[in-house]
Amino acid sequence: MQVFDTLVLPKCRVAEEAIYCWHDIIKNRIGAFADPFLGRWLDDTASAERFENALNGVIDDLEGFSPVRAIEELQPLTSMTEPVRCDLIANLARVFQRDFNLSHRRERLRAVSSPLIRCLHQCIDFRTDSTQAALFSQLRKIAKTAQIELETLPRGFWLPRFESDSSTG
Amino acid sequence: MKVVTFNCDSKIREGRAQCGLDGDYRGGLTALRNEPGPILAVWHGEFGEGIDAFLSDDSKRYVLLLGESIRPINDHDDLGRRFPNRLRSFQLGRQELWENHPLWKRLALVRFFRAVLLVSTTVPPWTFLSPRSAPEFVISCYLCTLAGIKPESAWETDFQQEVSFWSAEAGRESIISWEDRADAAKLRAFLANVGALAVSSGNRMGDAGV
Repeated sequence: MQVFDTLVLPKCRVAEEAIYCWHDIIKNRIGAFADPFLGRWLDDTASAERFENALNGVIDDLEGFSPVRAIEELQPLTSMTEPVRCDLIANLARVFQRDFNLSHRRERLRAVSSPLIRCLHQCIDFRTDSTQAALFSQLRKIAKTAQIELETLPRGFWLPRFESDSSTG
Repeated sequence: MKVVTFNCDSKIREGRAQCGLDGDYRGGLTALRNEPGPILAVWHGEFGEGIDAFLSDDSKRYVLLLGESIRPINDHDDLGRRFPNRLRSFQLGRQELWENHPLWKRLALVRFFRAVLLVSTTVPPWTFLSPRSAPEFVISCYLCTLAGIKPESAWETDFQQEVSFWSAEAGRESIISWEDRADAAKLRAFLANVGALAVSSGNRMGDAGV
């Protein structure tokens, strides 16, 4: 099990998008809405498109969890001399590359998001009165799997666990 | 802009010189009714009829409420909507001595009053009294420490203000000072304490069924 810290402030855009996907949409809409309400949400194509774009955006931009992105958000660090700032960025980027398991995470997320988006499109474009219940049931099941995977992402910027207590994590 | 304080001595007595303020006004708010605006009245206590009348008289009148358990006022609540951008509050605890108020609050008031008194302004710069959105200097020091880089010495004052602010907001004694700027364990504990850093038990990688 990999252990890490999460920098909650300042806000991490990609973390917020990930939470929007698994919490606001998958858990609170796809998972919680009864069929008629889920159908109505799916018929609002703008909402479904927003979700699809957000999900793809998270997977495409997992680098957004890097503490290097936090550096861009922190005003004090903008006043550092350029060589020191470059060192800071390089050192944190190296730790992120080494420990975040970026490509493995992306692979796993793609493995759950592709069937989810396919099923979402089926529900939007091809459902009929007779197939709706089965399609929705399938959508909820696939979405739950995606939710579990998305929940493994940090809730803010990823930070390496400080060494002195990494043994306790 | 003219600034007049009422009953504020118990809160800011020793800080008046730093803020550039004179002593408390001895008359009531009604005694100011013929004074031309803009005027900022600083009132120790809650909103009441006198303040309502004072603000209703003239659109160039402003009020800052100071108090122990005063509620925040902004332009979105009922009072704020009645007097948009003209009424604000700033909570100051029960401390008798100015020096015992959190550093960030003292500095915020000093900067606010100096701006009101010295800069040509038509509306008080209320944002000077706003809380910070993140302990940026402490976070910056922590990131530097994780990356093996020495924090900038120029950050000292802002670092101390942030520690003061976030300790006060968390209702806890400060556990770090500028001397701890490169102590990763202390910085991390502080950031976790004020909710800027979440300590995670693991990422559950491998638990999720694919």
